[in-house]
Amino acid sequence: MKSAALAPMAALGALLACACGCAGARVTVRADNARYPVSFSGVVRDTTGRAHNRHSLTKVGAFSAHRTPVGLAYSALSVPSTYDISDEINVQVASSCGEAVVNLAISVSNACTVLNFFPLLNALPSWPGCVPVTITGDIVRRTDAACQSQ
Amino acid sequence: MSPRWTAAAIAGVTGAVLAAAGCTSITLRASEARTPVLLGPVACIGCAPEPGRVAAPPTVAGGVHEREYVIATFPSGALDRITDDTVPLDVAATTAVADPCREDLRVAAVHAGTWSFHEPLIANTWIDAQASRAAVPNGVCGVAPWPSVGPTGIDKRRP
Repeated sequence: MKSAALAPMAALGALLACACGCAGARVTVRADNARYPVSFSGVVRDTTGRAHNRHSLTKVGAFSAHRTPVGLAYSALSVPSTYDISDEINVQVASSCGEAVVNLAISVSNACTVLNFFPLLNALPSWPGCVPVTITGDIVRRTDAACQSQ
Repeated sequence: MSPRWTAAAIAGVTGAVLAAAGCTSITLRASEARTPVLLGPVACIGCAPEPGRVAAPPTVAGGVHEREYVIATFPSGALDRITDDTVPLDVAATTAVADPCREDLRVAAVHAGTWSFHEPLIANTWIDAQASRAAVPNGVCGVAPWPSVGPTGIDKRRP
């Protein structure tokens, strides 16, 4: 009898959980310790102030970095909350003998949809969400500049 | 309603949502901007990092927002509608910078995220950037043509 009386409550609870389910994550992208200039555009300056674009830059490599921060408590808390791409920039530009990264692009895919949309369980604050972040760019060197490390 | 039917319904709705969601992504870029749009402490090739540099308050904003509403029509599938609310960063930069030869943009922060919500089924994904203008007293344009054309600074001919 008692279990029969609780059944509607359980059904209502499940319905509310399904209705209120919410999961995801958020992240701040930074490059605070980069040793090379990083530009979203295809333009970067040299020390004289002269702007270089694709006509005076040579692509010497492709920059790529990827991370998937995990979010908890309905995306209010993300780990890590900041993605600093400085290390990837410093390593990849140096290994390509580049001088800068241009055409930086930041992408977020919906590869976490399974996790973020998971019925019922995503109503729990402990249920994780995630945000897949991919950062790409062109590693370039001035056309008239020699590779310093070679 | 039997537990088996409930489980099948949940699986169906989830499948419909995932099928509607697909494997898309959103991207923030500013490849057509005519001025450097800098992220990080280094202003130019050969310049030393300026970690303690105090940036001006952000006055330029760009971003990509995608919101997908999904209406599950179990068992036949799902209807979805995608809305975009995008301010291209290169257009914002071109609009904000009066003299691309003597001004840069410094990106203060880039925020990205995604969350999904049930009832209504919503998938919200965003990337936002805020930037401030920075004068370059010795700035000069290169002798080569700029990559951008047209009144907005966006070359529509490029793929």
